[in-house]
This record gives sequence, structure tokens and C-alpha cells, in this order.
Amino acid sequence: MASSRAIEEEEGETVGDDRINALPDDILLQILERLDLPMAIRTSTLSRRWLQLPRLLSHLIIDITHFMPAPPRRTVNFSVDQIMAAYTAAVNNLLLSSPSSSNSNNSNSNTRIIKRMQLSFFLSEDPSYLCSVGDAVGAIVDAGKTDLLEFSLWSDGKLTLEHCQLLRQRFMSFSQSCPVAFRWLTNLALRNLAFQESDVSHILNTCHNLKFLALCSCVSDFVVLKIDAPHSKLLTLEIVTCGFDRVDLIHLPNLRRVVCWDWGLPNPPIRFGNVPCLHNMSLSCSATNDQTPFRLTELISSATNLTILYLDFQDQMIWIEPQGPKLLYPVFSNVRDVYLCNIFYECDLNWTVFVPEAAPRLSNFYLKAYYSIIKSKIMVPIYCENHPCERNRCEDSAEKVNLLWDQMSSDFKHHHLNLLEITGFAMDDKMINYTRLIMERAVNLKRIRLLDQVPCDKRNVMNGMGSTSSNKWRFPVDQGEKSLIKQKLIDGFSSSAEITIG
Amino acid sequence: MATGSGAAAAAADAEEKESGSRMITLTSNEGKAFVVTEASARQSATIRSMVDDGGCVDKGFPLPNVDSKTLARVIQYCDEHGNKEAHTVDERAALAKFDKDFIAELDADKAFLYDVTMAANYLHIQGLFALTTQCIADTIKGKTPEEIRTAFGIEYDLTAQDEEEIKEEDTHA
Repeated sequence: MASSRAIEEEEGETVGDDRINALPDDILLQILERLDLPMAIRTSTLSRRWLQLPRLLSHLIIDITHFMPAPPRRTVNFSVDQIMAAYTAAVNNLLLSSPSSSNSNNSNSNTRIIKRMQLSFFLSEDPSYLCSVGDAVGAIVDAGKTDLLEFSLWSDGKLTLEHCQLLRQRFMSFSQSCPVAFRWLTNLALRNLAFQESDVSHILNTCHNLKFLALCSCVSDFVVLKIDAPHSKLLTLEIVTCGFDRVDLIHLPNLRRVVCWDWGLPNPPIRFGNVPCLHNMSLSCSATNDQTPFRLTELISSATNLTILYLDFQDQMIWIEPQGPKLLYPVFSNVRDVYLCNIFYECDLNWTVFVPEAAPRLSNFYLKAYYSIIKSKIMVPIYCENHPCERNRCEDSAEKVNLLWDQMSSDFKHHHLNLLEITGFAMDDKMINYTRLIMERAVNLKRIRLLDQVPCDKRNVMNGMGSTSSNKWRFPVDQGEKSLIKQKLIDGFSSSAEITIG
Repeated sequence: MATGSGAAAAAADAEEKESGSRMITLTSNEGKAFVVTEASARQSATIRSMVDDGGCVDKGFPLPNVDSKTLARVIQYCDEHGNKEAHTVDERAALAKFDKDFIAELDADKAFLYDVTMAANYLHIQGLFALTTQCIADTIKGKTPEEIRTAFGIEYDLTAQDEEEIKEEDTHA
């Protein structure tokens, strides 16, 4: 019986039948693709059948961290040179040796087809590693059968400006010496490079197929970074914790999504020129005291296809300045989804009405209020991943000034707004009045979703208090409170919007 | 993120429910007939395309590569995923629970697990194929080659020359 065989296997008394070998190569390969690469390679020592399988993989993620000492020892001295030597050898071994290359009957036997290849490695001092990796990759992708080729480049050494300039040079010569790989590159992530004014334009003009570009912790050597690539296929640009004076997107004909997070220099961080396909924009920053609020039209003044807008204030100063619909309308004319996140709890909310006022097609409006409960010193230290409370409050955070806006037109009505969602809703007059304001203005509102602040488990455990125990802000918990809130919201209205709480 | 595809998905759902009222006969390689709802059968992309191409719904579909025992188990999966809703959190949790129990039972009988994997591959039942291949991958994960050989009953047949080659590669990685 099947079950008894399984038991025997577990006990190790008899070896079960070898039927896994009856599975065809393509199924075994799909199993291996669910493992990380070192584990997949280790299976090659199982038997003759498995020996060649890793070299048939069509999705390869070759991650530099697999070549580094395990995490506890990672901070201990490791030599980038040694790691890159091992990495380069492994890449060559995986990419160059074709399992059927000995079979001379097939003239195409040296051409391997790899659909997706994602490599992360150091922008090492020794260019021979980079060239070797680049050439091995180039030989595969030149067949034109690879859908995704990603380079995620790590930096070594102390991050002084001089070193970042050096890293830039290394990258530039790497891309020049491996033109084939870079021509086919679709995804690129760069870290800690000090760019000159037109470097990024140059990269985009060289890497014709680049669809995704991420710049992390890069600087611009005190110049505005200008990106002008009229033939670029770039779809997504991510700029994270960069110290650029500003980024000017002069011409990117296909760009759909821009992410700009945690910029460090004066506002506004980015300016949009000719970006006709811009669809999705995400800006997130905790403002410092040398940053002053800016208007969205300073970022972008021409008409766009902007559809989704995400702004995150990280519980600090509101760094945008509301403005009237006249100037903003061309930018907002196609906007359907707007997220305003982590607005500090004490801040007034009525200013946010400038969004529906300028965006006639707005369909979903998401607001996230943030209340930090960190008042007592007992609660420190706090760490929990992916939650705003983990962020260190910088000494130089800008003062949180309440934002009042008095330009709202009194007769404004919105006809398309479908959903209003407020996360971090609290049972207080400000929230209730704000919700009523939107209900009054958005005449066709269908749904109102009121949610509690996203819980931070570790914090609650550490403090021994959940979100319900503070008096300052409180989310309605029981049915009685919920119906009371609903009553207050619809009082005197004929709104047919469905209200859900929690 | 919310997009406009919700309406299209809802329309497709409605269409599927409507067509799901028909019954379809699947026949194993031993000639045993299984009658299932169309919604259940549509979990298989292979059958779905045959039905959509105006295939012989009435005559049923012979599956010469699948035996009765395997087909019965595959249908169990398709019924659950084809006939039940997965819109609410609770519905999705119930399906996840079903998957967990389903795969745990299969995992105890490796030979049967391979049969179901082969059938899921042949019938293009994406969810089931992902479930079984992930289960096999999880068995490999974190084990030494010797442990993997034991778990799957793989016979060691590498020659001295093979071993030499592996050693050489190991020094690189």
C-alpha cells in the first residue's frame, strides 16, 4: 500500500521506488526553478539523470549573496575579489557549458535559451570579472530569445563622493566593454554611483531594451540630472534615497511609472517634461527642515495620462501645497486613484479636497492618517519591519505645521468618485466631519470604507496595548459604536453610499 | 492596486458560472467515465480550450494519459476550485485550507504525487501543478544530496568521472 511505502521510506529501511525519474525533464526543471540556485545546483549530484539539469534551467537567478559568508559573518572582512572570482566562475560554468555541446550533430547545440536571467554582483575594482560575466551573458542573450535580463549592481568600499565617482567610472567602462549584454539588458539597478549630468541619458541610449531602471543611493555631483532619451523603451524609473539636486525627465516617450522615495535635497525632487505615457507616480518622503512644500504643478505642468498617484508623507510635514483646479486640471484630468498616506494625526484633512476638485475622473480616493503613539520612553526601542513606526525620526525633520486650506469652492460637486477609504479612522469630530464633507461633495459616492490603523504587532506586544486602549484616537470596536458613527455620518444626508467599518 | 480589470474579471466570472451549469464527461485510460461540472473541467486549460473551440462537449473527453485513480484525485481539486467561490477572505482561507490538506495527503504517497503532477501538467491545471511542484521542491529544500536520494528513492549511479567533474565545479562555486 502506498501509505506503508511512505512510512518505510521515512524510516529509511527501504528505498522507495525511483519514480521521480519518470518525470520528464521539463517538469523536473520547473521543480528546480522553485529552488534557489545553489540548492538547484546541489541536485546535480543526485544521479546521472540530474547531473545536467541545472544547465538546462531557463530561469536563472544568480545572486551574489549566495557567494558571501552567511549573515552573521557578513560584516566580518570578506574580500570582494574572492567573492567575484567565485561568482564569475559559477556564471561561466552555468552559462557557457552547454550539456549537448559534445553532440556535434546539432549545429545549434551551443546556443542555450534562457528566458529570464537575473544577476546581482559587485561593481568590482577588477574589471576582468565584470567583462567575463558580461561576455558570458552576452553570448546567451545575443540569440534574442531572452525576455528578461537584469543586472543589479552592488557597490563595495567606503561611500565617499570620490568612491561613488569611481563606481560610476567602473560602471561606464563595464557597459562599454560588454555592448552585447547591455544592448539586451531589460532591468538595471545601480547603487551609490555619482552621476554626471547626462550619464543616465547615455545609459538609456546605449541600453535600447531597458524597461526598468532603479537608482538607489546615487548622487549627482551637485548638478541636475537630465534624462533625455527619445528612443528609450523605459517603462519604470525608481529613484530611491538619492542625493540628486533634481532630476529632469526631459523626454521619455514610454515611461509609465515613476517612483521617487526619500529624496534628500531641496524640493521638488523631480520635474517632468515630455512624458506622454506617465501613468503612475509614487512620491514618498519624510521632509527635512531645509525642504519647503511645493506645488504639484512645479513637478509637472503639461497634460499627462497620469492615472494613479501615491503620496506618502511618512507622518511628517505635508510637503505638497494644495492648489486650485485651474492649474492642476491638465495634470489631473485622467487621474482615477489617489493615495494620500501617513498624514500626521494632528493635521487637518480638509485640504485634501483639492484632489477631487482638480481630478474630475477620480474614482477611488484613499487616505491614510497616521498617529504615532510613541510618547513614552518605555516604548523605545521600537523596530518592526514595513511599518511607519520603525523609521527613525531624524533630528532635522521639518516642523509639522498644520495645513489649512481655504480655497475650496463652496459649490463644488464631484460626480465620479466611487470609493472613499480612510485607514486610521478615529471616532473624533475631525474625521467624522471630513468624511461628511466628502459625502456631501461626491454626489455619486458608492462606498465608504473606514479602517483601523494597520496594526504593528511587535509594538503592541511590547507596549502591552492595542489600538483600542488609547483615548486620544480610537477606532470604533463594537456594533454600538459602529452604528453610532454611521448615524453621525449620514445624519441629514440622502447619500446612498454603503458604509463599512473595520 | 485597484485597476479597471475588476469589471472584466466579474464579467468573465459571470460567463463562467453560466457555462458551468453544463456537465462534462472525462474518461480515464481505463475507460472509466467521470461526470463533472463545466466549471470544474474548466480548471484545466487543455479542456477549456477544447470546449471553447466548440469541441464535443456531449461526447466527452477521453484522457488516454490519465488513470482512474489519478483522475479522481485531480477532479477532487478541480471541483473545489471550479465550483466554489473565492471572493471573500473566508472563502479564500477555506480554499487555502483545502489545498494544504490535499497536498499533505498526496505528499505521503510520492508515486501518486508524481502521477498527479504529470496529469496536472498534461491537463494544464496551473494551480494544481504549482501546488505539487512546490511540494516536491519543498522536500528538496535544505536537504543534503543523500537525504534527497532517500526521500525520493533515487539510486546513486554517478561514475568516478562524473564525480570528478562535480568536484571541479564545486571549487568554482
